[in-house]
Amino acid sequence: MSRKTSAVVHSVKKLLHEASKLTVVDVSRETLQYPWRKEISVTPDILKPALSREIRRGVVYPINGESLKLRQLCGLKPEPPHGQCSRKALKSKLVLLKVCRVLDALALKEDGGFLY
Amino acid sequence: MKRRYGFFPGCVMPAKWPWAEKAILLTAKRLGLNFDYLRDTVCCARPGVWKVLDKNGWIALTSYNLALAREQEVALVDSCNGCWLSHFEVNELLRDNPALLAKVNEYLSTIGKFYDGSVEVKHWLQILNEDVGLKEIQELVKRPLRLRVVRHVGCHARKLGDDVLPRYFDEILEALGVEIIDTPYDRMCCGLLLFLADPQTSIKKRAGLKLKTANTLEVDAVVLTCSGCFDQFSRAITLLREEGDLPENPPILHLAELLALAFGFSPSDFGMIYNTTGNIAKLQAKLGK
Repeated sequence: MSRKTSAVVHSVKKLLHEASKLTVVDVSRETLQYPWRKEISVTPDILKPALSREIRRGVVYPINGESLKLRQLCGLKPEPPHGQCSRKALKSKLVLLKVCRVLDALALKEDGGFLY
Repeated sequence: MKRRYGFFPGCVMPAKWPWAEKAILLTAKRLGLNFDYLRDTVCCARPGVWKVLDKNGWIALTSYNLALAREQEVALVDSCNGCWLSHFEVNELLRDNPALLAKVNEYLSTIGKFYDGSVEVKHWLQILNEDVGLKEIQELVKRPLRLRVVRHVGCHARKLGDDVLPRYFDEILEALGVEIIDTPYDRMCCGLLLFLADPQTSIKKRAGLKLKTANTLEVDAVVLTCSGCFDQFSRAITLLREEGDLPENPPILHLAELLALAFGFSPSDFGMIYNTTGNIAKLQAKLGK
């Protein structure tokens, strides 16, 4: 066994030992139920800034200048043809959130700002 | 007539992971699939956020995309586990509950849409494994990839149990000649949603721990299909590099990138060369290109 291989084996053993002491998420019980909810109490207020951005822009991550350039370099159309960032898509999303009273429930305005 | 697929890339992939999007399109064409974008979509309505905060709103938003897939006569395809979970779960809920479907159609009618529960929602892994088949994939492999990888299937992909999407993931990797290296953390969440509440734990004890494990095991890449997980891994890499806590790490790749490489495409054909999550040059050298 080379010195390098021996070092890797040692690190893996150490890793496995450390892993046995850590709590690894039990997928059968937890991951499908969003483990973070069990670890930290998340209130809607923590999420509101993120949600307000999402409502304002229509998506969690809009296409920006850098992504436009990267898309072209990858041989893709600059704006994704599925239209997720389009005005039409955003309008549909806002109408649905409005009829479902989601904006009221989260105290968010149509432009993504807070009601208070 | 060949089945038509409407691909929903979500919002992360077009903005942050375009080389993966391109690799999916290239390989779909090579596989002879009738595969195009689902058009005019809205956000998938993130299941980890919207479902928890407002189930009604989550169902209504997600139904919009299902209604579009019905109109466009396509099976809805997701590569992101979060998008897939939203579309899949809402579709199942609507199919099982006529009263809920009627309520959703009330909402959809305000924007001139209608849904009847008829759309098939499929994960991209299901298209490869169930509709194409491993044999056909193997036949298209021009260059078996002699790579050692850690794969992160993602927690939402375990929705149907370990014998469906996680097994498909492994079988496809093996069909490409890739060696899978198991780690003690394979089933652990990437920490994406935890980042909203506890960024330190999310980065250091979830994605960061997985990245350092991959380093220790000296693998060539960490492979995913989920855009949400990619977002979390790339964020963790940036933050840990800034802290000097992660001098190097293997690149984070979409399974479609490996598929494209195995099918004979070069990294520049789909923009893999712009991936800055890890040392792509090293990977290219190993591939002999």
